[in-house]
Amino acid sequence: MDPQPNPGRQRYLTQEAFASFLLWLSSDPGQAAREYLDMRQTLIKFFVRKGCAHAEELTDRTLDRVVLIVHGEPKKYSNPMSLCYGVARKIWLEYRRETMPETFEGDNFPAPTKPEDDFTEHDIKCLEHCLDQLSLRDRELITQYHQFQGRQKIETRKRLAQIYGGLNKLRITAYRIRARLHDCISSCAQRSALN
Amino acid sequence: MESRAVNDAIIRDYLLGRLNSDLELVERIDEETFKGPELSTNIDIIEDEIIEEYLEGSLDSEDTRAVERHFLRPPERQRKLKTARLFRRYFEAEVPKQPAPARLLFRAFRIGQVLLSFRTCAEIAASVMFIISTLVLWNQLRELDIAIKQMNQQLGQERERLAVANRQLQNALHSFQPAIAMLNLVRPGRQRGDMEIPEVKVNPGTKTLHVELALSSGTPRKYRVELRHAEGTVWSRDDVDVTAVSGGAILRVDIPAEVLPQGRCELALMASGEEPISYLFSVSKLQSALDPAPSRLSEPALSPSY
Repeated sequence: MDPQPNPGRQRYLTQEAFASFLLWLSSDPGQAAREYLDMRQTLIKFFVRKGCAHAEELTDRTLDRVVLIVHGEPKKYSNPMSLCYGVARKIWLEYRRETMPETFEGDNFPAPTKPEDDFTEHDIKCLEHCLDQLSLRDRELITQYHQFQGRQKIETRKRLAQIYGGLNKLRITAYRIRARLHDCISSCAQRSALN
Repeated sequence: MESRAVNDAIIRDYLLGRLNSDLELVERIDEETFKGPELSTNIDIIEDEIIEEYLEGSLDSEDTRAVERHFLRPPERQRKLKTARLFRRYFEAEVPKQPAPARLLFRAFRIGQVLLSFRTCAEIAASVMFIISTLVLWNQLRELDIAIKQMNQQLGQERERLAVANRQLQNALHSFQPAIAMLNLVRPGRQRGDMEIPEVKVNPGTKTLHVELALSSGTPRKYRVELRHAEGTVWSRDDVDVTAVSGGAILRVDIPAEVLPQGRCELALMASGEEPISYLFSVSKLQSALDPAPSRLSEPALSPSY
């Protein structure tokens, strides 16, 4: 796998290159769009898990390079995710070389602030709105899952695990509900910011 | 180099930036997250749990430092932290409003969906069992009641049939009983002394009592015959002829059975110019042995004893 664009070929992303990339993903435009977004999400997570503060930027950089590679030699690669991983790894290493000496080492890295109440009444309304979008079962589950602390939390989750077919299933179910809530709240906050 | 299994502890170290010395393992985890959602989901879950523990303050100082210096560096995770803090504040604020079980039960019954705990399931199961047992018992009592009613009905029908059969038997018996009872009176009452008086038994089927009286005088004449009882004359007939026989005469008279009183009777013969002659006898009226006893017919019906 060659994570670098072909030097003899196009170096900048064009509409034509992007269109050919989508076609390479799938002949069905809808399916191609879904795969592209899925790919993007996977890349963002990859960089976030590395502790990278510029995950979206590195993701875009990765995708641009993948698009150019595929545009240059569409028949050379058959697995988009494998290609993405190869390119993302390369991008990550480049990024580390550029930034690490200054910002990734040392004890004087500033810890993020830990504000206790940095949300507004609007955030609460967004959460309530998003909770209302859930089924009653999901709402009850997530409420009980997060309602208590310490010993009470452990007991509650044990009880919920009995209902939901084990602790692991419960963790997965709660995570999926939480992820939906998180996306919903982010969208809600963005809409209010635009208004 | 031996391949280490990727468990929750390794993922935790991976997320806290502690695996950087083991590049091969890091690359294996990275590559795996591109192949399928399983590992990626597990990593996301542990990521959420780290955030939760960080907010709770249950992380040790080393983990807390790793979270603040490495884990929370991406803005995406800071947004997650903010959302988690929002959950925490919102859900904890919900607790004091009502005791959780009561509130949840209220919601569950309101909507018709219940998140059932084992205890609740057991209680509901016990209640259902109790209701079913009560219904079964009630049904058995109802069936018993119906059976007793049917038996009473059958018993009533049997009694009616028995009564009809009794009546038919009575009639048949009457038809077989002689319609005429016979009584021979040889000595007049005055001549009997202490001798027992004759007794005639009258059945319900008896229509007539045929009496033959022996007379010492063979002179033909007409007699008035009177049947007397304690209350007086109950029946009489005039101009009854006698039939002469050797040594006397015989008077024959038929008395309707319905006039015969129960007990001691006197049959008096009177002829003009002669002293009346009395013959004593007793009448015994027999009841049919097949007549049903009234008390049996009026027996109370069976009734359930519960």
